Amino acid sequence: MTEPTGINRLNRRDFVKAGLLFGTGATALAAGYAAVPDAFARAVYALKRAGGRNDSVLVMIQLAGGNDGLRTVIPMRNSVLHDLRPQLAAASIAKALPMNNDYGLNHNLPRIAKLWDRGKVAVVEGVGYPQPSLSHFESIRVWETGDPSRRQVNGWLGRTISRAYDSYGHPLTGCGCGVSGTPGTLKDVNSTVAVIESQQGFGFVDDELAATVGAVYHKTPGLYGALFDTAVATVHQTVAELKRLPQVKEGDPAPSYSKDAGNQLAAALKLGAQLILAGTGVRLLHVTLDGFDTHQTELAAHDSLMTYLDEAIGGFYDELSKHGRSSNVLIATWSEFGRRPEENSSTGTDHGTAAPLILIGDPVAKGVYGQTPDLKRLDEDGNLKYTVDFRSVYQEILDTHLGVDAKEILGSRFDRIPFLL
Amino acid sequence: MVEPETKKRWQPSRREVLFASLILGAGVGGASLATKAASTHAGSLAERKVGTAAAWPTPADAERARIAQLLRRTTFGFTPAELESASKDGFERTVELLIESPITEPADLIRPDDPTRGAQLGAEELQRWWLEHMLTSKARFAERMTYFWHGHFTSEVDKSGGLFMYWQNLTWRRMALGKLGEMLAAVTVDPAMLMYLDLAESDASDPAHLPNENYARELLELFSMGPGRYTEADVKAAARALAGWTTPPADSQVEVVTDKDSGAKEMVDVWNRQGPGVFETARAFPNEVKFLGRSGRLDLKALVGQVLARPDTAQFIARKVAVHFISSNPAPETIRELADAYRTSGHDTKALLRAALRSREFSAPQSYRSLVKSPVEFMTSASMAVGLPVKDAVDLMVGYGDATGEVLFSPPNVAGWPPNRGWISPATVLARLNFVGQLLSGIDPLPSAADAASVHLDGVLGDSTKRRLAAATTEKERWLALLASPEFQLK
Repeated sequence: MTEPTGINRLNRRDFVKAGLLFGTGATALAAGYAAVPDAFARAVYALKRAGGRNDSVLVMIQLAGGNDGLRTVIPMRNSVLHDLRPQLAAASIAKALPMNNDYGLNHNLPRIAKLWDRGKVAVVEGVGYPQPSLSHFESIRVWETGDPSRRQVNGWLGRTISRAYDSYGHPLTGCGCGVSGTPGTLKDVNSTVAVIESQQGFGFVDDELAATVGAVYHKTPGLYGALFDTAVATVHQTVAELKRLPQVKEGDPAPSYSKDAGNQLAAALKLGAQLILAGTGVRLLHVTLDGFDTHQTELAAHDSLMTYLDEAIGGFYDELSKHGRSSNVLIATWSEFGRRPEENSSTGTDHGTAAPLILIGDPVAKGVYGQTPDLKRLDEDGNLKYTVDFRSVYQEILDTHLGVDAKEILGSRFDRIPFLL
Repeated sequence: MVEPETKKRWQPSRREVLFASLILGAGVGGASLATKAASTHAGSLAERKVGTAAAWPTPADAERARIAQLLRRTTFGFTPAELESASKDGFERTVELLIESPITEPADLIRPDDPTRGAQLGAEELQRWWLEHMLTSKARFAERMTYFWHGHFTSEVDKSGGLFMYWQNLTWRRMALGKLGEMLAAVTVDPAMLMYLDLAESDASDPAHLPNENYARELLELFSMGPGRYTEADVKAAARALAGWTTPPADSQVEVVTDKDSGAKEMVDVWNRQGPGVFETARAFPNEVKFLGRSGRLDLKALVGQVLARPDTAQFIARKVAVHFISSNPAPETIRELADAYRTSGHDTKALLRAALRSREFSAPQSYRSLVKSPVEFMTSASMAVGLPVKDAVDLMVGYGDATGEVLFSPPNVAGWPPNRGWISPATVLARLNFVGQLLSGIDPLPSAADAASVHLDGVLGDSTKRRLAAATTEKERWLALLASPEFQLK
């Protein structure tokens, strides 16, 4: 990212002035359309520069539906697991890929197991939050906003962008890949975020429209003129950035990552890798693998999801590594909840609470962190009691990986889990 | 969102940053109220001027533009004939016609041969049904107000279920221009809301344990008084007083096939007709509570009475109406005027909206194009402007809900959709523009665009749009320049 010259002349105090000037709304707008947003944007940028962000990249992978943590990172020596899951546990434990004496990875995660052997994987056990919600969307919202009290509207990474990055004119700072709606994690009223379902899908439906819009959204008068013009300029910039990427043929999304064309996570991460390698300035990526709500006949479904995850992450890491670009890229998984330790009568598991998170990449300090919740001391719903607040994980990512003061984003301090180098 | 009391002078807090955006109309939940900055900077109507360089040009026919603005803000779109007719009626009479026109019930969404009586209604069925009614209902303003309450007393289809959301929509339409007190009572026992904010599960029978506070808190914070106008003790008291309300019991169950491939079946609850929640005394709080200064065994009616007695309630709803219908940054005296009209009329929504539409600020030059159309308003008005057949318009709109940022029956959270600036992001603006591109590709031949700038944009165009329109050589290019313009995004 190259900066326009002279922008550092403004300091935090200027920001306050510009912010308050901006805050006067119509009075400030009387000063003319161009001056106010420009001063504001410059001041925000200066503030953000002073905030000390770095060039690290974060990839959040959402395992949507509630991933079965006990079948992902398996506590192999825990006899209680057999009792709780007569149908599900035995095969998982027998086939697990051992990480150490106590834990094994799901047998469909061979590439992640190899990365573990190479010291590139950390696991945080027992991650959850107080008074857990068993509703998918409520718990998703808690994880997206980083706020178990459900008061916060904006996503934790969205707030990070608006606090610490200059997303105006750099639309790919935060990017949702492989989805049509803005991921809740990246949402914030004050940040610009790109959402790219596929490389082919982002852009104007036809050239005539693009030409019209390009001509019309220029020096738009009125209260919202600058906002509309900025939004449209961002779209044009994003479209141009995407044109720089190597073209992927339709129906052949990520051949080097996955044998299965249905592996949409592989396609999304392939796009993500291209954005990183092309130097588009992408910093915070969000991708999703759906289908983890395994209430019934869990084994087959969960096995193929684990394979998707393994292929996508393995392919993504290898591609970055091959180009010498993996050193500052951190991959982190999250899911709205784990699943109930006791299996149900449909050979599946119901909504649970705490679960392990997996962190992968060169910045990681290998190890199993946190504490596996006691399978004998479950809560009143028969679920695990969390041992690590999920915001401890966010905090470490923000402080150590992104170089952003986590307290500003999360509102308070949490126990430190040092899973990064 | 609690900010620490002490912070370094030079560091802008999140609240200040938010405030800056609020002034531009982002309207983020409760952050808008009563901050020191707000009282210092909101500025009175008289002080606020818009510089000539930044302002839209003045419409040549000011009275006609005023009436067109009234229609843009109170309907989902209009035809040239409707604008003509409203112009003949004049502003005042048009306001009365809008406010006093009776509601039109939409078509029954539950098929007579459906043995489940709508128990399995899906989100998309609901969206299609309502969008079609928005495009066809003759009771334009009642429908627009139904939509307003949909975002205020909001619930979510994933959690509440399609049938209860359907009922809720019918309820808000019937009450759209009624009394706030009746709505506050109705929303508390509305089955979708009972599900959405967990009141259906709340249990206060054991005084040693606190019941679920979710609904009680939102009732005060988002639905009536506004943040910071009550104490935590009031929230707990309301939660106790309301525990016991739950969804109505089903009338029967019926077996349905849930998966055609595997033939899997399950039993679903069937309700024969729409009905409110019921009170289960077994989960009720056994003792007295003290709520907003009044002690006793308070029931729902008593609770609502206490809430209405506080002037904060009229003030809070008045501000929200002003932000949706007048200006993203309404003047304090306008809000006061509206709140007075609301309170003195016994919280009659007709009186509130009459005061809003007839307010000085509504017709003031600085309110011109001071509101952003919601995606639904943008798409319905564009579809009507070119006369796209209703079914095609509904198909297209449903497809663009997610990308434009507004999926009906699925608000982003309990605060509903943030208006105005909240609608503008690169991805959502791109989606709106692509909607126009697809809309215009779907009509052949297009109607003449000759009068469109006058009918839909009051002939008030920015220089860029004006140039593009002048250079256009085909109807499609003309319509593109008009409907994909920033002008058409505003109301």
